[in-house]
Amino acid sequence: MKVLEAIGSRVLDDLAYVGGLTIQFWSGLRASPHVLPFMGKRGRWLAAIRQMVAIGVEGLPMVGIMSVAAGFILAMQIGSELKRWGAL
Amino acid sequence: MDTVAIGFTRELGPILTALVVSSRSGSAFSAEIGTMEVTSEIDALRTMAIDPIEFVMTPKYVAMMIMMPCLTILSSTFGILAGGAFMYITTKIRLSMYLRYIFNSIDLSDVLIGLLKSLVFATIIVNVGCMEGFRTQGGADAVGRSATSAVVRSALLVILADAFFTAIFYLVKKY
Repeated sequence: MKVLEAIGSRVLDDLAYVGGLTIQFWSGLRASPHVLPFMGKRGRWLAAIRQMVAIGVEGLPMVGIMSVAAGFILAMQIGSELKRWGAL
Repeated sequence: MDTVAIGFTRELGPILTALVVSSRSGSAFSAEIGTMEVTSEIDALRTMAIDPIEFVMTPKYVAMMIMMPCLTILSSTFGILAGGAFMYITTKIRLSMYLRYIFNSIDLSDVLIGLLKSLVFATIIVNVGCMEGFRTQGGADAVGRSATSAVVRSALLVILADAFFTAIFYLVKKY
């Protein structure tokens, strides 16, 4: 019985979490016009630009290095398999 | 060459970018909002009749929705060019010939599917990161726990969403 209770409680918690995420998503979507340039508030748009720099510009080296490494590994693995089967 | 090109534009580009961004920015969102929550800054915003969602979360959401597709395109480009470099080293295929082959093998639908996925992943990362931040209660240790939880949950949800999308697109193509 305790196992069932634990599973049920966990499922209810997770459903509440997903429900909270959905409510928050709609609230964010409704508020997003206030952040856009020209129609929104100026301070919010500047905050969005600062976030863009933090997410995009500062994250680019890490994304680039990981992608180059993954592309190289993928091509190497596929190339060696193709060579084994005489297709390269 | 097809596998590298299609694999990167449809799958690896969006998911690699999402995992990097969730570990970098998702945890930062959670830690920032969690610190604001434990120091009662969020309550102060509510007292001043400022919606915390609009003030704290929405700039992050808009920024993420703009930057994730850009990062995904760059990630796919870097991956495909790395494959081209390997092909040049091993088989001496010229880059121009490799790129011509790549452009012939990728459809616009592959690129659009990758971009659509990146938008969904961006939504997941921002919402989970901010949700974990808003749920933080306690002291400094709770901020650390919520940052860890944000990364774990967003990575899990991103992979589940990717599996869901791949299954949907597979079924749509099949029937």
